[in-house]
Amino acid sequence: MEARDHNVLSCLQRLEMGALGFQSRDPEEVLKKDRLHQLKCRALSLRMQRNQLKAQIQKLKEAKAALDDGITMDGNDVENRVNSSQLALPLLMSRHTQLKDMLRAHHLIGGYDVVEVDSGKRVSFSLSTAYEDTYLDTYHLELDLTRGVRIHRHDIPPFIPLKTLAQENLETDLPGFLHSLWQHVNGRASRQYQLKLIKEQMETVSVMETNPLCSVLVLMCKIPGEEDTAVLLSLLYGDPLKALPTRVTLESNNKLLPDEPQWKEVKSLFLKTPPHKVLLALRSEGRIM
Amino acid sequence: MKRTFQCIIYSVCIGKYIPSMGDVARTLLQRTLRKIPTVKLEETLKKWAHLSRRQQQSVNYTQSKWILHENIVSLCEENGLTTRHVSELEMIYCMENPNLGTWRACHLTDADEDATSVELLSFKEQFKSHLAELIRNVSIKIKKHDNGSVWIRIAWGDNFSKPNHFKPTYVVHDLQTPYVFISNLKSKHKPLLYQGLVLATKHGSIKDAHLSGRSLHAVRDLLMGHYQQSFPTNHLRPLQERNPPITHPNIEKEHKEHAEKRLQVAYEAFGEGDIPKLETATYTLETRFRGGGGMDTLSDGEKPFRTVVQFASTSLLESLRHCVSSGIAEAPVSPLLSSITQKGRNYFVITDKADKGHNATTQNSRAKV
Repeated sequence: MEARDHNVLSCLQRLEMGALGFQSRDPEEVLKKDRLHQLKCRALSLRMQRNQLKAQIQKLKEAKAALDDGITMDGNDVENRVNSSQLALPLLMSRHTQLKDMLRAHHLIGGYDVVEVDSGKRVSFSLSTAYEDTYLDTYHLELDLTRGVRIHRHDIPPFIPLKTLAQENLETDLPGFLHSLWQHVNGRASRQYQLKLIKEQMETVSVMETNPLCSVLVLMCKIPGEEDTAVLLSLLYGDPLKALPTRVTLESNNKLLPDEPQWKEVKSLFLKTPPHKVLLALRSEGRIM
Repeated sequence: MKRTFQCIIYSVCIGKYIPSMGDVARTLLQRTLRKIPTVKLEETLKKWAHLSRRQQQSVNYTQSKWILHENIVSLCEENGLTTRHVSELEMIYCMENPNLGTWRACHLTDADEDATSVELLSFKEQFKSHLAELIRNVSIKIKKHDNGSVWIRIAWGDNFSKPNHFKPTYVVHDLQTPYVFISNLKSKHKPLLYQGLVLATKHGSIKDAHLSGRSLHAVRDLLMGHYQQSFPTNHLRPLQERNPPITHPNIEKEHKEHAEKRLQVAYEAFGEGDIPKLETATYTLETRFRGGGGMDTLSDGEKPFRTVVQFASTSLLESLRHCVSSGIAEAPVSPLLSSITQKGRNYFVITDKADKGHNATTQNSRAKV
């Protein structure tokens, strides 16, 4: 009872001191007050920043919307002249975003960058490859348009069958030729990128064999728990356009392993899902190291 | 002879059989060791892995070369290594440092349907079996390099003699590409090697690609396109990338745009940055002399005026590129010069437009450089 009275009394004492304007002598209290003051100032400044940024974004949105509607900022307009200096930068930025969106759309619908050289005599195409949101290499093809379409020069690697594709379509169906060439190049780039992901993310899986076209991939995975049990996975990509294998073979020094139903399931899984994802899933389940 | 005789007597006396290296193996080992510089010797021996770790550590690399080599030879004798093992050492060293003289490129044509599915094991088997059928007494070794290319070492013999390991032929091939690089091949073995390659890679025929150089990497990079090629694009390249920094604000270059255009043309013709180091380009002209200017004695209009023009340099493509970018050579670049990179060859035969030769680029005979 005395203790409680003591607490109540000390509390009342503190309140009295505060009302009379005396500083509390407790160092902890002082620190707390300072910290509180600091945080209040910081909150104020952050709020101001946020309001500024909101105003900028609003201006940008308006300018972009105006551009999208095709309204051009007329320099003779009295109102705009006043605001034009302020709007120059957001205008530029909005135009930049608009162009980037257009470029992205152009790539998505399968368009190629085309440049005319030598006043129409030669045309240069850029084929960009990508796999699941990551842009990979860009390849170029220069075509000579005098006297029929011929390939002038290119930087497509020699294991892509450019000559056979050109013999088929080049003269007759240029978009078709470009599309089939792009499919070959993109298929190979996707497989190479998958191999790179496997090498980066799965250090315990060793790549035994691969080839420049990335049409054969042989991996060796170790099984946790049992010593000296390894699984040799051979992925054969029969179709050069696709990034998924057409045939999967499983071998192991434990003869019974490939016949187990769960490993047969794994085999069929490889045919449907990209190999790096399958390997990650297997590792997280604990089936391979 | 004396040494082997002594060895045999020694071993008979002791009553133990110490296997000894043959003469060929020992000579080959000594020659190989002499070729390898001492700095690289340790790692090459490690890669070879035919000496035990204890033996490797016992080698003192600070001794004089002769003593060091004798030391290694005696260690190899202890292990009873044969010519097969020693040729592997030579091959390992050559794969890292292909300074084997001139490399020539060959082009495989008429690919079969399943040429793209040739893989390493089937290639090895096919090549070895075909070559063994064609000639007896060949020693073939096939290894895969880290960068994916397949290296073949062939020591040729014939019906009467054993394979000559001192002058082996090296062949480098990337599977699924139509290019093969060969060094040290004698003309009498050429048809045999070509036959073996054609059958093993499932192509119809093989022909000379007219490209040769001393550096395998340069020749290979040129054909495989492993250098940065420049193509015209719509994107404006930042000019600061290309132009050297302004030396003084009061100095202005009048012909800045012309210089940039020339630079762009040079880059498009020969590539940007580091380009493959070729040494020569040879043009054999079989065109009629059309000089004019009072040189009546030389102009015999009917017969071709045979000349050979050869450009030589430590790095030919870079010097040509500099010629074009500094204005010494006229732009647009003459197709005779730009064909070096575009067609990937450095030996050309030029004939007149009237008669079309087999390997000719038809060109007006006046060169513009």
